[in-house]
Amino acid sequence: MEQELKVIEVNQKKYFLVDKINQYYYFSNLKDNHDILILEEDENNDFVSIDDEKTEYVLGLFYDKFKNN
Amino acid sequence: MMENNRNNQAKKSKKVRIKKSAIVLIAVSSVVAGSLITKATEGMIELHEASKGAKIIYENLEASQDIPSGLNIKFNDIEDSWIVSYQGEDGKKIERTDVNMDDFIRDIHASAIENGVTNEELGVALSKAGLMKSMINKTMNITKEELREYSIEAFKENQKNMESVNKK
Repeated sequence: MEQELKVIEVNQKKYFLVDKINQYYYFSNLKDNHDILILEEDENNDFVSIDDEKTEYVLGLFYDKFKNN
Repeated sequence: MMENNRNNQAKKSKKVRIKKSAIVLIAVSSVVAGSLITKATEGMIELHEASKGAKIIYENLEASQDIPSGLNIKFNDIEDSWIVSYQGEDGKKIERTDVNMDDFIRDIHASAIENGVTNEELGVALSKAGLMKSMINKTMNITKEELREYSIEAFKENQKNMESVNKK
C-alpha cells in the first residue's frame, strides 16, 4: 500500500505535512523531527510561517490533540 | 564563523512564505509514512514539553534572583553587538548595548553556581532569554540536545508534582 506525503522545500530542507489543526499546518523535517515548520494560510491562500509568539500556543494545540488521545 | 552563527540565528525567526503550488506529493509505502508521522508527532510533543519546561526553569531562576528579572538577550546584526535588557532594582527596564557576552555569562554563571544552580538550568534559562544555543554550547559546553532533554525533564517533573498536589 502506498501513501502520499505532502512535501515542501525550505532553505534546501524538505518538510512533510504531519497534520492540520484549525488553520495551522504542521510540517516536520524529513531527517530531523525536532526541526519543524508551522504555517498558516494568508489572504492569498499561500502559506506563511506563524509569528514566534504564537508558537507555544500552536504547539500546545498539537500536544493536546495527540498527548491526550 | 562566529559571525555566521550570529547571522543564522538572527535569520532564524524570519517569516517563511510559500506558494501552495510549491507542495509536491511524494508516494511512499504506508509503513514508511506511518513511521515518519509517528516520529514527527513525537518530535513536536517533545518540542512542546521542552518549551514548557524551559519556561518553568526560567521562571524559577528569575524568582530566586539567579538571573536578572525580565532578562532578554538579542544580537543586533546591524551594530554587530549584543543588546541585554532586564529589570533594575527600581523596577525600571535597563537596556545595555555595551555587554561583552563572554564576561556576562561568566559573571552570571559564577553567581548562579554559588547558589546551587546547575550548568544545565542556567543554560536553559539563558536560551529562553534569547541567547543563541551555539553561544551556550561554546561558553558553557552544553549542546542544544542536552538543553532540550533537560527542559523536558523539568516539564515532566513539574507535571508529576502538579498531579500529586491535585490528588491531595
